[in-house]
Amino acid sequence: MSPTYELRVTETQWRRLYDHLFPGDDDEHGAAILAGVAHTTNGVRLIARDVILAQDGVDYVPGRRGYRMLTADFVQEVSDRAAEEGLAYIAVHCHGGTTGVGLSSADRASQERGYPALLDILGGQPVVGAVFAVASAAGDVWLPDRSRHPLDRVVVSGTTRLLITPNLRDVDTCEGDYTRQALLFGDRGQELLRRATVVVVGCGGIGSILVELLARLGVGHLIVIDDDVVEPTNLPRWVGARRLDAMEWLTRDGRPAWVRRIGRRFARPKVNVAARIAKRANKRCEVTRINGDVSHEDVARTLTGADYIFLAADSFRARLVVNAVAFQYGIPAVQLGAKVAVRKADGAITDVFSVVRPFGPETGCLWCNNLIPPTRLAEEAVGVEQAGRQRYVDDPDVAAPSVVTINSVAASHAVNEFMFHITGLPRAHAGTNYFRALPITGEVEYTTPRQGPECSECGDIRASRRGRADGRTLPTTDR
Amino acid sequence: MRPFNITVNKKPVPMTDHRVTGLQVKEAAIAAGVDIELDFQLSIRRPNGRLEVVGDDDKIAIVEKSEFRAVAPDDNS
Repeated sequence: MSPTYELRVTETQWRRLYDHLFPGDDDEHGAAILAGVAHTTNGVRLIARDVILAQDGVDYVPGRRGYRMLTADFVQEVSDRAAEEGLAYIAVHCHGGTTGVGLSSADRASQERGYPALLDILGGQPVVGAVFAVASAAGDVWLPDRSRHPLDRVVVSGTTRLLITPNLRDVDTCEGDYTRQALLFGDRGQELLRRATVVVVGCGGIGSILVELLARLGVGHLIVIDDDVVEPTNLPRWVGARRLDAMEWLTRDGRPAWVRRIGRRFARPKVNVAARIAKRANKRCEVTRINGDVSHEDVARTLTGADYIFLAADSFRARLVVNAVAFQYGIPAVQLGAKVAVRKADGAITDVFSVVRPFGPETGCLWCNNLIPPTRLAEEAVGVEQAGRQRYVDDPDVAAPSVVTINSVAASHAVNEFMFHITGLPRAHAGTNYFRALPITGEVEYTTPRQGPECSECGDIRASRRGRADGRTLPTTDR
Repeated sequence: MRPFNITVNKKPVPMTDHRVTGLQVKEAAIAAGVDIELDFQLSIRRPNGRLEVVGDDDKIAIVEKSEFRAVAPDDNS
């Protein structure tokens, strides 16, 4: 199958571009987009870093061969910046129409004339000519080897996801199994779920529930990542786990240490159980199992082609890496967890909560919100990872409390948010706020995350990671 | 300046300045015996009832009975 070519923009970038292209005068307008380039298992993605509007009559003027053109000065300035920052250059203009659009012969002639020179100037980054109608987009992607490929789609990522293609295609009526839920988001929504690639980082108590829910919803491709095996204490909160998975008769308390070691060696990797859970729920779901640590470069790379990432791992290193991927590659993500906090002095329960924290193209990052404390990262780096994970007890061998019902609240809320996002159902903006459920008091709190203006991960400053795609290394442990 | 009380996790915390950083709020709360640590995530409850995260270096205006939440950054999955 040939790779797909996709442009990803944030909702804020899209609104700015759309308002410029379609002010209601039925005329043509122009702009340029600078984008990081990601080569992923799902094709080439262009991650918009900046949208530069061409001023009518100054930068976008009557054409000598076509109706309008970007001036040489504008092209020069923007392409110089693309070359300097290692970004793709995307020229944009609008056409009439609504649900179908394509490049005209004049557009193509203009590309033939100008794009080889631009490819030389950019020195290794793609050049793209794109055209938008009100609800469709098309374009040509020119690669450094001079090959040309159609721009397959534009993805607008915000509270909800908007998928823009050259032509709105009818989707076949969904399979009978899904008719009840498709009454909520339609056959098109069901098809968008089927086409989605979703990563679950961490297949523990919450991760196993996520896998079950995502597969039953009809997600077409799940990538599950974990480097651990099933233990007997996992069984009460793992949907679909069996005693055999944990080698429970060998690993349970009271067995000699050497017997428990043998049992643990033969216990089933969590990703294998997750794959079984997914296939049982939805036999058409393709599952990629990665028995590894997301903080390793080769594992982290598997996230870059995802449409959505669920982060249900305990370590701060995992947060660091997934946070970087989300902003560097423009992928919506969510961190989720649950906690039963115990006072060290007397063992009293001080707090019980489930939490869901979305982050990605339109929000502040986990750094900005004190969710990757440098001291905890440092603790993990020196090998006391367990202590870093479960700091409310001093003894790293004392396991954290974990209850399936509390985990389920977080998993269900997060998958609901994903479902609304991916199917494009419009709604209020709860999807960008942190959700915290407190079962003891019955309260639910929504917290607005902050965004540090100078943040090196998610900020608008030139040095930030946002939208850099393959042009920036990830903060993995093997770097 | 006249002392006044804010709350952090529903417990009273005495303050003297009306313009403080997020870190100063957490330091004052710890000094007042609130069971939190300095790397906790702090949020302030706005008049509309919504919580907003406050960074350690963010300067905020506080008044008598300003309400804060401070929660551990870690959780389990």
